[in-house]
Amino acid sequence: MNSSPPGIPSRRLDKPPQARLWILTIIGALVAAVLLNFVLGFFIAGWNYPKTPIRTIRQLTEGTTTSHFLADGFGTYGNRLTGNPPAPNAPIVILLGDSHLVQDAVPDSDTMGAVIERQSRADGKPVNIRQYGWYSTAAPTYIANAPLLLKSFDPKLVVVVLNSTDFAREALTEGWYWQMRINPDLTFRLVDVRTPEGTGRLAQVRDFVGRSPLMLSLRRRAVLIFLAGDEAPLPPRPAADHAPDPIQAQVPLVIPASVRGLKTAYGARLLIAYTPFCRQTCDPAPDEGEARLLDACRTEAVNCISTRADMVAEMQSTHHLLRGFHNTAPGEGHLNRFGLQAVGTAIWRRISSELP
Amino acid sequence: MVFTSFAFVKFLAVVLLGLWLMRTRALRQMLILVASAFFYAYWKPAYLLLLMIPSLIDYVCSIRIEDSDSKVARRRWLLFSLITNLGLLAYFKYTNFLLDNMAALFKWQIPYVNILLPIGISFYTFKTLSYTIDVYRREIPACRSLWRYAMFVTYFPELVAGPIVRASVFLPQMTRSLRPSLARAMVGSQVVLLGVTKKLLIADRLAVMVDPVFANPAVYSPFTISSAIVAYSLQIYCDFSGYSDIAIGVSKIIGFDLPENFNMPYLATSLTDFWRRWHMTLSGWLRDYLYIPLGGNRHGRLKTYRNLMLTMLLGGLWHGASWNFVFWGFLHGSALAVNHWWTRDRRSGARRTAPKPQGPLMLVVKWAATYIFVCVAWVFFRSRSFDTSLLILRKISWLDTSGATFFYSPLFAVIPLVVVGHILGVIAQSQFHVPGSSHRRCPAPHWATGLYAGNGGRFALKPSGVAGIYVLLPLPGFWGGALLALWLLAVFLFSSLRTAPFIYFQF
Repeated sequence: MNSSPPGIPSRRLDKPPQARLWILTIIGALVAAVLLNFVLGFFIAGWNYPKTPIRTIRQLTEGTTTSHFLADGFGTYGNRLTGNPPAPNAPIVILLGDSHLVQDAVPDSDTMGAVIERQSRADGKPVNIRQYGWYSTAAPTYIANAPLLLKSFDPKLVVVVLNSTDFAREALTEGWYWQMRINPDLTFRLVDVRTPEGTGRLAQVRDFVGRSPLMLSLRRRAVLIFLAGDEAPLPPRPAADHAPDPIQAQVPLVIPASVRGLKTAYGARLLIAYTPFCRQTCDPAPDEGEARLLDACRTEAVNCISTRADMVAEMQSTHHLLRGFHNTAPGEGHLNRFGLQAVGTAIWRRISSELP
Repeated sequence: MVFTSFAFVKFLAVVLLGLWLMRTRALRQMLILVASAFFYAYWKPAYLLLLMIPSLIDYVCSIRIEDSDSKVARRRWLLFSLITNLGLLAYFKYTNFLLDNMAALFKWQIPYVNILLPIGISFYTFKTLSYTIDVYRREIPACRSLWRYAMFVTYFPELVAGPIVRASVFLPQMTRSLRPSLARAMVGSQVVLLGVTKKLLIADRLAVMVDPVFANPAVYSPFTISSAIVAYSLQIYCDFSGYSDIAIGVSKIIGFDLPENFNMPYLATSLTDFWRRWHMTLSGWLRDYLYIPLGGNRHGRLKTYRNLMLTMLLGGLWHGASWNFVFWGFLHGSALAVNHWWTRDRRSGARRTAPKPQGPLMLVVKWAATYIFVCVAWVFFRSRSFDTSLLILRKISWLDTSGATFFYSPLFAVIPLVVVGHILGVIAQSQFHVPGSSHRRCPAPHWATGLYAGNGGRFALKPSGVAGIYVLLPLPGFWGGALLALWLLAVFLFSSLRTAPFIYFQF
């Protein structure tokens, strides 16, 4: 009997058994997952598989890019390659920084190091760049890695790229890899907070997840959702808990301690480059952290520059946004190729005078 | 409690479990009433009183209106109800707007009155107003059960942002079982998923670009601003229709059919057509309780234009206490008047009832003109100030070509998605349109057809004038499973991480 009411098309009545239909549903879902896994392979590649010396990272969070790293033990992924052939007998310049130096949102040829290498060659003073970025880090990580970096590469110069996130709790309690605890006299103690590599079953699971772009995407997404939830405002602490926060007292000391620590670690080879957060607009006047950094540099007799003037000029003359990508909010996120071009140019102008 | 929050998911799970466990319909209705009160109080418990007081007044007024034979007495009770409802709305929504304008006009120093706008006040005020007016017009009987009436007013799926459900639609459904069923859950959850997709995958993604561009238009080039306007047109549609879909879907799972609120409005080929497709429950309300009582189109052309303008000005003001909204209403009122003038019969002067057959090119021209007009009007709706709106108009007119050009790829990924969605909608509409009826019906999936026979009004799936067209996945089955898996994975992987409040919450 056709039970459809008037106006509703009748349906076929020789229905297949329900159990078979549900099995077909599950098979359909699995086929879809395999298909999506294949498609995502063009956009997503993890760092933990395959374990080859040159690591290829693909991502689609900030633009859609493929980037390459030489895994040599420094940085989150290793030395970010520039796509330029090395210049024979040219001095090595090391660039250090946080995720702004990972630069996995731009192709190799648009990285800060690539910009500097190209300009150095055009100016007849070729240098070879090694650039290392660690996610969510500040000066303590650069200080901790100094002995091995200097021993391994004997660089002519070391440029540490800082921004305002390096001047607060990221250096103290929130940064990954290394943190610092600062005494009132600016002496400090480095704290190792690196996560040990997974072993045994855990490592096997990570490797398994790393092989599948879909699994990797789901894992990354779950982490991002967890972190987004983590950014929700915390409830106010109870009155009894309002004791002085010892870490908060150290925050004003982060800038002078970082400058002093970096100077001790890298000596005369050090250049600190400050990159302001120029989003939709860029204020030509220095921000508070920048002014304090430049003051600390003067006090410690450390070479420091701010790339603000170059960034403002770039934005005013070309109307380019220096941050953000085609799939992010305009002006938000990491430096894009225009931003890296402006910062790289400013750094090269400064270091070119220090090179023979 | 926002529909797209984990708190709401937990809340809904508890409500559905409770409905499953309750043994009688009365207990289930009571549970929905308590749940609705909790839902509203979750935001600010004190404002539950604000919901209760006018509800009690309307409940009493409607019974008095029905019981009274004296026209004067009936009118007095109606007036009392209208003054109470509109008075509360005016106080909470328009006090500061009024004071600001008086201060500006008379150069007075008036301090800002700190009034927190109760969420959803515009929606539930209109809902209760329609109930009292319908009882006054003797179109529906007064509801004699206080807690059933309270359930109608507070029903949580549509309490804070519509669809604006009339008592004539909602109260008759009180006879339904309200016991959760697999059939209702499968249809309702797909509608919910569609709404979540519109909100998280489209609206919130587009907000990432729209918000900064509208906040700082001077920085951007005409191309960027134009694409932001297009993005906003899709954002507000997907945000609000997504909310409506979630409300309709949740309600369908519970057992009530809510009226449709959108019918592919950007396919409209005239502004009159647009308002038959956009926020249909509000435009229907304005038509039945404002435009027609003002005289509608029955007293000559000039009065028709006046009525259209008044209706749209008040419609604009309903959205928010700002001259931008009023101007937005003025633009739509003017355009509707022009549209009426254009479509009048040249000889008799009356409006043509049957549209003239038109070629595809003319239809495209009319569609483009309508869409562009709606987008330009959105500029006033979205901008923070009139000056910002004018700056944006200067930019999109290429009178000021300076600024950064920003290409936002998700917008260009969303457009094909929206086009495909509309194509499916048009196909579904043409397949399931009931000849000779203005109603569109909800086609049941084949596993659910058996539910119709002999079940009377027990199931929400029963086709009715208020049920919409939903393109349902062919579940269970291979293609249904594949499409559902892809859909869920796409929403999880690509939706915006930071969900913004629904745009219509502010109204």
